[in-house]
Amino acid sequence: MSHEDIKTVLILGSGPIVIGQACEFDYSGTQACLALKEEGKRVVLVNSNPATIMTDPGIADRTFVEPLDPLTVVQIIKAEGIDAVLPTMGGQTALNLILSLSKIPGALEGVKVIGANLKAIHLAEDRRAFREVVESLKCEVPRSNIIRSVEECEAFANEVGYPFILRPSFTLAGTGQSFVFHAEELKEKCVVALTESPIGEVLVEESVLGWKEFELEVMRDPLDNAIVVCSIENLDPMGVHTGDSITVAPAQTLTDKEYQAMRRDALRIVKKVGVETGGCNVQFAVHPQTGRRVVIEMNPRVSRSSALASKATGFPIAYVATKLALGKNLSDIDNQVTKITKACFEPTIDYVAVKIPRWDFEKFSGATDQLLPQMQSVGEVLAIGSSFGEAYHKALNSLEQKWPSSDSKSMPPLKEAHSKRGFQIWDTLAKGATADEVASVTGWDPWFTREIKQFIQENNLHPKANVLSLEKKNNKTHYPMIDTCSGEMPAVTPFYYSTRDNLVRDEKLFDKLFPSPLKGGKKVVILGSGPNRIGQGVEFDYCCVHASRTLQRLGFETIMVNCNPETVSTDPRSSTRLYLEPLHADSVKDILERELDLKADNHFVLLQTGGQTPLKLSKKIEEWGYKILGSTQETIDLFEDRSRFAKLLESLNIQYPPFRVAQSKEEALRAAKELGFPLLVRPSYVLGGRGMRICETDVDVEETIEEALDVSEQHPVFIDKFLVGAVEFDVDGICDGKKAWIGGVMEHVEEAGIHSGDSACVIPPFRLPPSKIDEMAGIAKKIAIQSHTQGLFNVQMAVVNDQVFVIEGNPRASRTIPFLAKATGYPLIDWGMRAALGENVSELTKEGNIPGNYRLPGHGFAVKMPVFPFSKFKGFDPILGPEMRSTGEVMGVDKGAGAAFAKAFLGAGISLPTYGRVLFSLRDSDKTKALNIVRLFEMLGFEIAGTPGTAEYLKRAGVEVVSISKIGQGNKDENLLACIRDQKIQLIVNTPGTRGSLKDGMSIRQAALRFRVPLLSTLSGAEMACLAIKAIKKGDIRPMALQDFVSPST
Amino acid sequence: MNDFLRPQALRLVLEKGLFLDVEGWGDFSKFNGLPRVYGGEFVFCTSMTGIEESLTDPSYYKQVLVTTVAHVGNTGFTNEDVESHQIWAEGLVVRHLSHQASSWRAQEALLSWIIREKKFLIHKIDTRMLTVYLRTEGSQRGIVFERGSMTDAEALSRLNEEIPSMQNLELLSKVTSKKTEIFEDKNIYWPQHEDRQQKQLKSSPRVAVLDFGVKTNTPRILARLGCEVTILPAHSTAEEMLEVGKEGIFLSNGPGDPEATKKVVEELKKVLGKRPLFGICMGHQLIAHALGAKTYKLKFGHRGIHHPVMRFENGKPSGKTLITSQNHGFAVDEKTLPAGVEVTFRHANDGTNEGICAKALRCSSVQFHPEAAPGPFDALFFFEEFVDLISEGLHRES
Ligand SMILES: Nc1ncnc2c1ncn2[C@@H]1O[C@H](COP(=O)(O)OP(=O)(O)O)[C@@H](O)[C@H]1O
Ligand SMILES: Nc1ncnc2c1ncn2[C@@H]1O[C@H](COP(=O)(O)OP(=O)(O)O)[C@@H](O)[C@H]1O
Ligand SMILES: [Mg+2]
Ligand SMILES: [Mg+2]
Repeated sequence: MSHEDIKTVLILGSGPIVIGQACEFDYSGTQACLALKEEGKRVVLVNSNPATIMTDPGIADRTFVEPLDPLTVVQIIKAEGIDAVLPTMGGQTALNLILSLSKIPGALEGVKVIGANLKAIHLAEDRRAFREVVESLKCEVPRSNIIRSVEECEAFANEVGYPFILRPSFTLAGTGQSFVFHAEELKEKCVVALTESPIGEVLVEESVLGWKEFELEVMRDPLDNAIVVCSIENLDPMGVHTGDSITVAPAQTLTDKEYQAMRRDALRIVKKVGVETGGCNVQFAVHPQTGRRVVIEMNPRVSRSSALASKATGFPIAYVATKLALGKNLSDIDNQVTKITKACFEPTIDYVAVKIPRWDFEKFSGATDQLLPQMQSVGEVLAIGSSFGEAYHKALNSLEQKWPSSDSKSMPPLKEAHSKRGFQIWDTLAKGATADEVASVTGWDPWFTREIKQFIQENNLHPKANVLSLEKKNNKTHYPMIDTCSGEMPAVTPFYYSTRDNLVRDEKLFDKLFPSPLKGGKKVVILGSGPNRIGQGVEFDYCCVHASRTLQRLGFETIMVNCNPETVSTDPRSSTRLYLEPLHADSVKDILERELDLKADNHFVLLQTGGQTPLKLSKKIEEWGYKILGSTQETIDLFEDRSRFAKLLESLNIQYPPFRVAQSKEEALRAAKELGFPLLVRPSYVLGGRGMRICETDVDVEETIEEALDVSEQHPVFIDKFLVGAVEFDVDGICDGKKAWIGGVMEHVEEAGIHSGDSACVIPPFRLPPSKIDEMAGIAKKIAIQSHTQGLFNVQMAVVNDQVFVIEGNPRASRTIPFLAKATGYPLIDWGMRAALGENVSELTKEGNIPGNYRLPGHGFAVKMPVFPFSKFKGFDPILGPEMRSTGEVMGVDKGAGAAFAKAFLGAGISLPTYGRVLFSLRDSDKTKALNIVRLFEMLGFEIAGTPGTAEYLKRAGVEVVSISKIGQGNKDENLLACIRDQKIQLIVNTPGTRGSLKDGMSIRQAALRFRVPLLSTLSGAEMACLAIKAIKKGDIRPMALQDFVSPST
Repeated sequence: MNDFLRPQALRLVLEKGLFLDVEGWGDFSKFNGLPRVYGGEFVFCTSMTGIEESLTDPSYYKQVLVTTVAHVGNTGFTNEDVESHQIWAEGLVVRHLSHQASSWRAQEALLSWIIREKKFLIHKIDTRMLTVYLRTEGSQRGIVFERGSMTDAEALSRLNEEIPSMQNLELLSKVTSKKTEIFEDKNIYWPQHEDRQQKQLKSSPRVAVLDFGVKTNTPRILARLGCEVTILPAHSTAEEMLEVGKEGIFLSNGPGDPEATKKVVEELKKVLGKRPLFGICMGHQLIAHALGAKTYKLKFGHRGIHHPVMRFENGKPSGKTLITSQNHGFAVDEKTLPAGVEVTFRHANDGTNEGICAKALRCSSVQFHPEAAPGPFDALFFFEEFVDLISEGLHRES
């Protein structure tokens, strides 16, 4: 089939946000849709992640929010008449998916794979095949071998020596990768690596620990033209995954000869592997003292670093790659930045871009804060400066993290790579260590430490100078454009970074050459949500991008501020002007001064779409005199200050869990006495339930209060009465200040006490009578109106014994908005923005016909299911609690509840069994309640097993059950660990108990994780699984396009 | 910082009226009772690497390089990377200078080399502003002197008296080698992998390289491809060229205005058709002149190692694009090309001529630098094609 004959293209998305695969693939997928539509193609999209922009019904022609599993995709291919599949925009997930599809007979019959063909994917992804390609080009690779057993691994070790590295084939972001330093640990590490690889194959490789790491972003077109868009240098040497390394673009420590040799190798490899068309990257390691260069790997697809390279250079890699995949040449495609030239050029940049990852180790107690060849970061920031020092400083300030004290005893030593080392290096240099000392301890190239040191000295910055303002010099802020060409050609893309350097300039000439934006017209500055972190991710980027579109349609110029390079919001096409800047008060203030007129009535700052990050600035923004779009600082404060919020609730006769405020251990214990157990200790000014703990005894309180006080940074800690066994709800709505409209009431599957972001949720609610649902909607409306909310809002409630308690409210777009927008098909952000601007809510929502009792307009079921990064953190007990730990979510939609549940499970990577053995290991309080569920599983034909205590109970209740001794007990070959390992158990239901049983449970949960047996840790989750299995067994699960799902007629 | 490293207060004056107080290094002692100045044509260069190669490129003679890249000097200086025996550019204007080198190959810091070579360096200047200024106002002359040593008006008049304008300027005779010499490869650091299998030939093709300011990498590549390379002074006669270049003649890059080099063009006319000719940059422009075409000055030229050029076949773009190293301020005027001369390349951004070919005369040339150094090796195959062409008849019978 020629490229012209392709009419319908299927784009494979990357699924839920997980470590190693974040919203960069929303960015690439969205660009791909745009590029395909420009070329007149019909676009079909499949991605299970509802928080993305690409899955908006308006972006593709047909949108399937469905599991990324081969059988689902085959059905979509057949039903939609797909001519070509584009698998290079959805990360490793999409590549693996296309490889699985290729193995299903007939699945890809008559379908062209574009972007990278199957052969190229195989050559690049199969580490052995790839080595052969590289060696055939006379390029070097580390010495290595492919092993399939422990014995083979030992043979390799005997030959090459220690340390060496284990790298499972076909995995993502270094999953299962580890170093073996001595013979004793060989066996265990080898077994884990073998299980990680879907094909049971591991590459063992000579260690090049400590070498410099580089990455080149390459594009190639059908006529074999190839360009390098960007070079990226890792500051952290080999041994720390690129995704966890602090990196800089362009590469700084290579001479031209060395760089060109690397560039040429990269192009030769890409051509040889045969990535026909599109973007890919090649990674190299270079010995710092000899210059020996080895090839590490290549990815035949766009990646996290291509998103970074796009933002660092202005070159839209994914967009161009899509056009190349359709058979265009680089010289056919317009350069989006200049509009007059073509895409066949190599960007050259006159600034420095620094990326620093962001980690959330604190959320995984027990996990060691140590950076490995396996990626652990959950997000990243990109900062651009006139010098490396400036960019590095801005990047640290973009992280929105407390500047950690380098003296604290919890700070790991400088020589180990860890999550706070970026700050620690700064502090150590500021306190007087020489640049060369720090370089030799950290393994960084001394060029970097010298530049940081010089920047600190020149700007007189002190340790912990976590302020962006270089006050002493009183430097003026300038805004150069990110133009792909260092000023060589006129650029039209309005994409800026700030600098406060002290360079020589003719200010008049500067203003003439680079005029500031005009102060007239209607304008909104949109503050983004910064780096992804657990609790604040891609969903807020969705909200900001939508807000920008709506406001532009309403005649506003939109000015986006964000520092997250993975996102769609930092695509210059998403707004009128883009500033890649920290969401730090100083940077924001400069931008507001440059863009807005204090006196203009139609100049606003938009805070309510960027999550919690912009809300933190609301007070300052009001003080500076700018107008906040929608809910004012007064309203925001009313929600954010829990005491004021409690008063508001009281005035409306709305119940909330009683609470006390404590600033010391004594106060906390007194509060405990007054309220009675169980309690919930909650630090203030945190996101995603950071540091939140449930306490059952005084001892618990004593243990948790310290950390809570620490996390709160001087602010008081709240101690709430914990609502036991409550059903939790999220209610999202829109208010114009006088009238409110509710878009949906979402019921959480897990009970209150498990963070709303970590709990599965369902629309419509199904466990409570309709009257309760209406009551909750009414309560949410009352709160919004009473607080003069303008725009979007969210209220979280919990229901126990028929009574409704309000847990919290948010005067902003919530995490659930994208999910709700997809479930209902309503443009919630659009309406929210217009309400914020003063339009009448009843008028706005006229088409928003929510059926009675908050069912969905399409009369189906929508399920949201979180995904967790537990397998990435060693030593952590994977249980759920009030502190959020999920990195992303999937959505399952169907006309039937069971099918929707089944799709959500499958999308979240939990493949539910339809036969076999289910193991129950339950805490005492759950045993009675569990009986029903056990019976359901029996009815579905499962064999029931239990750990001794649970089995005993079930037996007495008349269930036929096999008792299996716990891990570390009984016969070694028959205990639970052996059963899990030997696949004698297909599903585990384990509800965590307290204390002693907690520890037993932990070993079960970790074993389940390790051997990939589906694990359910709540009874409600297990109940949901039953419904899903029932639907699967019935076999009536079909993929369903969102466009059909939301329509009431089908 | 020791005194050697302390910058001096300087002033920069550009012809079209930009005056800046700057700081930097150079030899500003008095000379014949007058304050010593540095001057030349200020041009911007967008390469992110390869400053040693550029500074030692004779094509930058009488020019001041304004580099756009944020940091210069990171990897310091190594004489493995020079393209000739000295720095030819007058001086260097950078944003941030690294005072210490960090590279396993570095021998000294960039600055100490520049000072040793008696050139100047200015740092901490907004090079984006300066670049866009030069782009909009055009490359222009400028001078640099010790701040306070004279007024701006005095500086402008010295600029007009002492600094020649590039238009019509003959510089080849200043940079060319003075005698005929067989090229010997000193076999310096060369990290490339060679794809090409060496052809088995009866004898080495003999190539004359006309030195208009040649960069070492040119004869080095020819030698590596098996040629016997002889370097000839720019003003060699046609007879000398034919005598030495038995199989082919290569015309190098070089500084100045090609219009101002009539004598060389006259000699070139005499060799046209007698030997395969291959020219780059100045060599390309002189071949064009020899064929009867004209050249003109570009507003701000092309300098950098990221320049895309598009290949043309039979008057149409072939779709093939190369990323090339470039350094030129003049271009061939395509309108003046005679019949029988084909355009082979154009710049992908502004459409200016980048290559021609006169098949019947076995003569081809490109405006960009296939020898790279600095820059990508995308166009290395030109040398291979040229060597294949001149080796015809030298193949070993098998
Ligand atoms: N031979 C090796 N010696 C030391 N470290 C290595 C070696 N190979 C890879 N690494 C480290 O592991 C990381 C991940 O390896 P890579 O091949 O890029 O896998 P992924 O597909 O996960 O990106 C690299 O960024 C590097 O830091
Ligand atoms: N009083 C309470 N009783 C039971 N569970 C609670 C209570 N307060 C909060 N929670 C649980 O803790 C989670 C986080 O609390 P929330 O106030 O929503 O914090 P966040 O701002 O992090 O969303 C909720 O989703 C809920 O499951
Ligand atoms: Mg990698
Ligand atoms: Mg909450």
